[in-house]
Amino acid sequence: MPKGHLMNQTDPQWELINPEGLVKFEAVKPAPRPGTLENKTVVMRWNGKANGDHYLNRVGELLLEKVPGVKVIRLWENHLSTASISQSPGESRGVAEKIADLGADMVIGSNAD
Amino acid sequence: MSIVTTEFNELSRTTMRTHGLNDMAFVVTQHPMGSISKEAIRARAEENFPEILEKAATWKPKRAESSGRDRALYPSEGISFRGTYKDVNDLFFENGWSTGLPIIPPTRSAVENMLRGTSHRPDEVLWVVPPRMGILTVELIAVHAVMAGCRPEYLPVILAAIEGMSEPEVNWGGAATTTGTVGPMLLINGPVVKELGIAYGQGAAGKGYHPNVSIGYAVNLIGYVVGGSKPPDMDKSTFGSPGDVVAWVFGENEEASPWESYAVEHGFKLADSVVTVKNVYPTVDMPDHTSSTPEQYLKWWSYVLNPMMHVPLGCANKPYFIVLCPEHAGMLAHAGWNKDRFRKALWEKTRVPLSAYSTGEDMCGIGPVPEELRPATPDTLIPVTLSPKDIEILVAGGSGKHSQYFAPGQGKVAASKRVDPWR
Repeated sequence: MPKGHLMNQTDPQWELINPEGLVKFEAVKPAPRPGTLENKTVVMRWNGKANGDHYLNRVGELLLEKVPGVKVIRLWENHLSTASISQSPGESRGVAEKIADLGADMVIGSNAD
Repeated sequence: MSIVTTEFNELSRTTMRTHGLNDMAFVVTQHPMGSISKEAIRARAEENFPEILEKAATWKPKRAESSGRDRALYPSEGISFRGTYKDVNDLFFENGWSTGLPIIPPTRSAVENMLRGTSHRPDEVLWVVPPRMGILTVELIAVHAVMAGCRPEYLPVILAAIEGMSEPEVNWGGAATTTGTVGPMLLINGPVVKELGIAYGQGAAGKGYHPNVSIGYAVNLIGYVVGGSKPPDMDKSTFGSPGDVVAWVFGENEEASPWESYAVEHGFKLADSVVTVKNVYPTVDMPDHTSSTPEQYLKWWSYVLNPMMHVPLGCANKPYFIVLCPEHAGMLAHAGWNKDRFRKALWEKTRVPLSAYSTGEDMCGIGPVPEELRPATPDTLIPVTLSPKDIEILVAGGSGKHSQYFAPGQGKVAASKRVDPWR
């Protein structure tokens, strides 16, 4: 009911269709976390936006300083084409496959401008 | 896990939910990331690092997984409402079912009448529209066509456009949520243009042409209401544009074009009615009133179109659409130029040196310098696209000397679909 709406019996009765429609979710279970990053492989994925690489570079340095045995891989140094916003599910799958090929235990991604 | 900025937190969480996750490991950092010093960015990473480390190692989802729909797709939910026409409009606007312009109330009888425009079943699902992931049936498309004031004979054009927009490579989800001023463009070719009275000549993309305006309104209502592309949290457009309200819709001026039409160039027959969709930035006007040779004309273009005005190269968006007015196209054709010669010359003349950007030798604006242009130096010439093939040429509009270009928004393709299968 719109705000302040006063129903008047002389007004027309409308049989309308809700234009919003239903939504479709395919339930996905999040991957379990490893408990520790020690001796694990962390792949960092940059979306190509300004300064995201500098941010992730510093995160990578800190991981190497503070986590024994961790291996840090900057995905964009292996595959420059992944340093962009995915344009389709197919492209996203391609990025995921490249990450999997690197043996990632954990992926850290940067998003937004 | 994902690191997001404060301004994109809500969009990230909604995107998470619409992809089936009830919870996800996010670390939120202050917006923006761009245009601040490298030292400040590194300090921000240090500040966020304890949370990053904790969430990367030990995060668990807070809520149980549950999702899905709880009622049938068809027929869509009904609403009984007593009130005036204005009250119906208020009801729709306040529920987020209209953009602010008036709508025609979608009554059951009006929708049934609209569905006479297609032989397709009303319960046929065409698309799950991002970012809201609303399920779009033929019936629901007819609802929006009614709301936008379309006639039943327009419905097949809208259905073909939706078929194109739903292609994953078109990336409507990106266009619907970007900070750019991106909206849909519908180019119409073939017999349907004259059959429906779709404007292709004077002022074709503007006002006063019922099919163009109402089809464009219907398409964008679907993106807003069913797709949920709503500012400020989901549609992140920094400024927005009227193209978010009514999509660009125009026919190609095939009779004034000296060359084959866009559709024929892309493998369709002259007898095919075709809708081509592409996410675009608003047009830029190219008002050359003086050039009499292609060389002079290209010089003008070189100052109007360049890669710094847009983000496509960094984002790999393509193609550009160059919409020549008939007088400009005629001048080129009179000099013996075809589309391909103009396309290649335009690509050559519209490059800028990498030094024009302030982002060093690794970045050209919004993204890294593509591998194809490396190793790059300050003198490396950056084109608007990696290949001249990613510049499309067509002819539309009427008399006057105003050509246009649409820079590509999200997506690596434009999708072309035949109208007849949707009749």
